[in-house]
Amino acid sequence: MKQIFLIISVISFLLFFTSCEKRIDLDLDEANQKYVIEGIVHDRMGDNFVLISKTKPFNDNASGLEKISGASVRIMDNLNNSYNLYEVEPGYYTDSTLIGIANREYSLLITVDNKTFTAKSYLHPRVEIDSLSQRQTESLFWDDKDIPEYRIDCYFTEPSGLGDFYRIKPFVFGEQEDGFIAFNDDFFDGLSTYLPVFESIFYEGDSVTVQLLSVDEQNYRYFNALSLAQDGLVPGNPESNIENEEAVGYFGAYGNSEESIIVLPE
Amino acid sequence: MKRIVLVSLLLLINLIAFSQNKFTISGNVKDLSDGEDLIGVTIFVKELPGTGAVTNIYGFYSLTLPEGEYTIEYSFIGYKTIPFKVNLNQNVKKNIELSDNATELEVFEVTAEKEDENIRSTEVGVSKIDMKEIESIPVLFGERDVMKTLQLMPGVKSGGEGSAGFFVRGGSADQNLILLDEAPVYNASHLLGFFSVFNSDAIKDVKLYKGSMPAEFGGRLSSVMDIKMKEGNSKELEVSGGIGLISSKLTVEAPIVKDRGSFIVSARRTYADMFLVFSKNETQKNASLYFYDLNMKANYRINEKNRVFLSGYFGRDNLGFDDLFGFNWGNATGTFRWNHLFSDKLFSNTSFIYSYYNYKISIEAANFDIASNIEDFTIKEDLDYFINSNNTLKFGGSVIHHTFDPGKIASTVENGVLNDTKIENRYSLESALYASNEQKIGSLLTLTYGLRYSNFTQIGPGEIYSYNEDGQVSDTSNYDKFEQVVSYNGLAPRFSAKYSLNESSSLKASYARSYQYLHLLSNSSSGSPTDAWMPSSNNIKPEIADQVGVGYFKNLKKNSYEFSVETYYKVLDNAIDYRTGAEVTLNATVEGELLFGEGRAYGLELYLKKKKGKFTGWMSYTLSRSEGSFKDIDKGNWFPTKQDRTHDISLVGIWSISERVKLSSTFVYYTGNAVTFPTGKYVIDNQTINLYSERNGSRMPNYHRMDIGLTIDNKKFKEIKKPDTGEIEKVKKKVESSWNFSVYNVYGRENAYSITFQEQANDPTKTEIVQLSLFKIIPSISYNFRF
Repeated sequence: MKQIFLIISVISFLLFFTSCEKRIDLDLDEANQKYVIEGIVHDRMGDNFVLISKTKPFNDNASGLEKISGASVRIMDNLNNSYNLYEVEPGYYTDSTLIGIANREYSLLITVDNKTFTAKSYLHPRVEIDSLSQRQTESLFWDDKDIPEYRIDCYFTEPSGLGDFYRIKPFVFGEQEDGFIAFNDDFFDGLSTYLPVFESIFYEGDSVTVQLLSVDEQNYRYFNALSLAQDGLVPGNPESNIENEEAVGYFGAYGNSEESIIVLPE
Repeated sequence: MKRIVLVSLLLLINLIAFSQNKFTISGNVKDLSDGEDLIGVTIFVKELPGTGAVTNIYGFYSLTLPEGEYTIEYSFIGYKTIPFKVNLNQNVKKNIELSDNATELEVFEVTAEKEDENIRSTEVGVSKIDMKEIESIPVLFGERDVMKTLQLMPGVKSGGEGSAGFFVRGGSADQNLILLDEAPVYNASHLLGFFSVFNSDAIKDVKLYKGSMPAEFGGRLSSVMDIKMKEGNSKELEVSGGIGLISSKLTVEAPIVKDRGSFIVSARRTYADMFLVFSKNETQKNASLYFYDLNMKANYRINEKNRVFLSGYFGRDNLGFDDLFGFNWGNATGTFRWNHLFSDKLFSNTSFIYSYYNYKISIEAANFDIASNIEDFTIKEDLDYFINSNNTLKFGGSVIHHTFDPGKIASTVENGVLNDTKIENRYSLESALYASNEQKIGSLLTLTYGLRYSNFTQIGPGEIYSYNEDGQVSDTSNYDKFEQVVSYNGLAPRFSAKYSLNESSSLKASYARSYQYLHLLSNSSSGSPTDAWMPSSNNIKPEIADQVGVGYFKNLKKNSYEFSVETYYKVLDNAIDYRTGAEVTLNATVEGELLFGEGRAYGLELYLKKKKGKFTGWMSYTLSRSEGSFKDIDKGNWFPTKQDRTHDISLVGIWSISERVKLSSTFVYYTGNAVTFPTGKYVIDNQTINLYSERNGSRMPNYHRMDIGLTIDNKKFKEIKKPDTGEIEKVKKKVESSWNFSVYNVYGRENAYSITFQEQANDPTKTEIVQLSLFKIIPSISYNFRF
């Protein structure tokens, strides 16, 4: 969170000067492209999937990402329940019977192109969202437009005991908003509190769904690092929980609590 | 090591045994016009070429000679040399006041006989700044700045626009010890690095040791920037000030008791936020953005043997948006010093030093505050023993008590949105003992050799963690108040030698080891007020550097030109970096995020300065490399550090067009910083993520910029026609004033402040590279006065 405010302060300072932004071209190294694995097990039906693709050179804007087909994808829990995921579209693997159960450890096993990728993630029980609320904000950096802007706060009661980790994912009309929000309970432990969905601005009429995900520490670190890297502060690949240096990405088992709100004029 | 100590001791004993039937001439050297102590005045004996002394930082000198009649000459650059005839058959006390040449009419003929300090001193890798030179060098917004001017010297590199730090000989920004009247300044930047905290109106002398630092300094690896505040005019009341586009300042100095004591108060405030009222945005209109600082100093000479000084600095930056958000930070330092003469050969200074840095972020919109601070108490004793004309021994010691408050977060209302949380304070004691002797051997060779012993002890109270290889807490133990957690010792030899090849050239060599016990963690590339200082601990070993350097110094055309070439090699142990994605602030287990490795740096520095004539200035060029290697970064391969700069060029020219008009220009060029650019991209959560490979494998575009400045002094003299004779007499005006015009980045080079790799706004499936440049052409104007 701190980073956000820091950036705000830097940007605001720069505003007073004749700063100038322009698009440039740079030759970039294209070596060492990697596999990308994105795997999620929620504690509810649907939206449990594994995506496999490949990275591509940064300057390549011509084609889409290469999807990896024909992989063998398996998800198991620590009680030896096992699910084979089917490829329903190129690179997208799922199984409709797969539902995560709290307090189990899930493992992912992928075999493709004679390579093996494994990962583990613990499914922490979900923490229910008490409510969502909207509030109108003043915009800091743009000339006042006529369109009012809104923030949404997510209210929840954090269970006692340090060492809980969370992500917040906002969706507008079912489309995920940009930005990553990951936090721990260092400052919230046991509190009935709220957190602003601070990466996003919403407008009147938006149908907003917010997911509060209980995640394990490795997933928290991964997404926190992504948000830092996106802010341009620390360029580097986040530490992935996938055990193969040829892959980037994550595997997460999440306790998922969801609430929706429609932004109304105030 | 033992042998070095032994040899030094033997040398000393030898020297002391020799002295018999000798007498000492000693005293203070001051400026005639305002009574400021003059530092580094050379005292020569005409009858004994090669024999002499130099005033110390309090203007004190002491010279011991065999009985006889002598002509003693006091000379200092920019001042008239004064000869003094003495029959030395007893100890003599002689205080001298030198008059400033520049106050005379012949501005262009600034001559002092000995201007070859550069080839005479044993100091290797030292940059000095003449405070008068700073006045004419163009700078951003016309805000004169010693730190920015130092960055035009060889081996000293700017951290870039908007960066707080500077880099010395491949060392990182936290390896510079910045001292203001002996007090360490933990964050030397205002407005996130665009200005330094040092108000040049209150500064008397700046010296940067970038090579072999003398044994009296320690605690940082790369450099010591030793800044001394003015004492204040001890002759008469003086008021000076300046009004600029972005800031104004005012300085008042006056005697407390004429010629016995004086004080100075200097204040400065920026008003950049005044421009905000023009903003159309309501929130911006109510934003605040400014800094101010206050320098104060007083000194009083109790009697010939005792003198006391009290100095202080207080500065603060403030940034806020309406009632949503506030952010302020700043330093406070205080120094009490007592000079005491035990004898006319033994000068003592005892200092009590306080230093404080803090920041506070108020998230008023959510009713909580974040705050952090560092607090130091220091006791320090330094002694100068002027043994004889060939030996000056310096010795002393210091103890610092550090308190680090890494951070707390607290609600400002009852039942806030978060729990009040505090990361435990860390305490430590840093102490040192040193001795160093400067010895002349014959007329050609001068040696400075010394030893510094330091100790750093982490003490309780507190809960102390240990970590495993992966950075997870493996053990927790509790310590009581003042209970020792861990203790480190360091023995640092310092050595430098000067050999005169002839009247105008010399060779110098040096070796120095240094220990650093405090480390700055920053998760932004340019540094920020929230960067965290971490003390050495059970998990963080002290950083150690060894540096060797050699240099050749030559003066040309009767000291009109000064030329030097220096080269250095440096190795670094226990260098610190951290894991990708490490949370640096408000993290109780931040030590688990650290990685340890090694470093090396080497380079070549060329410097040519023209000191006399209507056109003066200098050229400096540095060719260098700075690398690091960490087991957990790129498999231990050596990679260029952020401060690695292959080429770095600075040109400074000052042209005195007439008595009153000076035109100046600077040009800088340097290789872009080593940075990590993406090699590829992929998608996570429907968002484009950049893929990186080797650390710092790419370069920012090369940086270059030219600035020009014009200073016009208003007439200093009135012409009055004498009614009786009709002669025209020049009378000095009461008010001196000048106008300063400058243009920053004259040819509008768009230097890259940052380069971002992002999704295109209109088509998120495509990406683009965007370069942000800060300052195109910035003109500024300021008016300075003095009466």
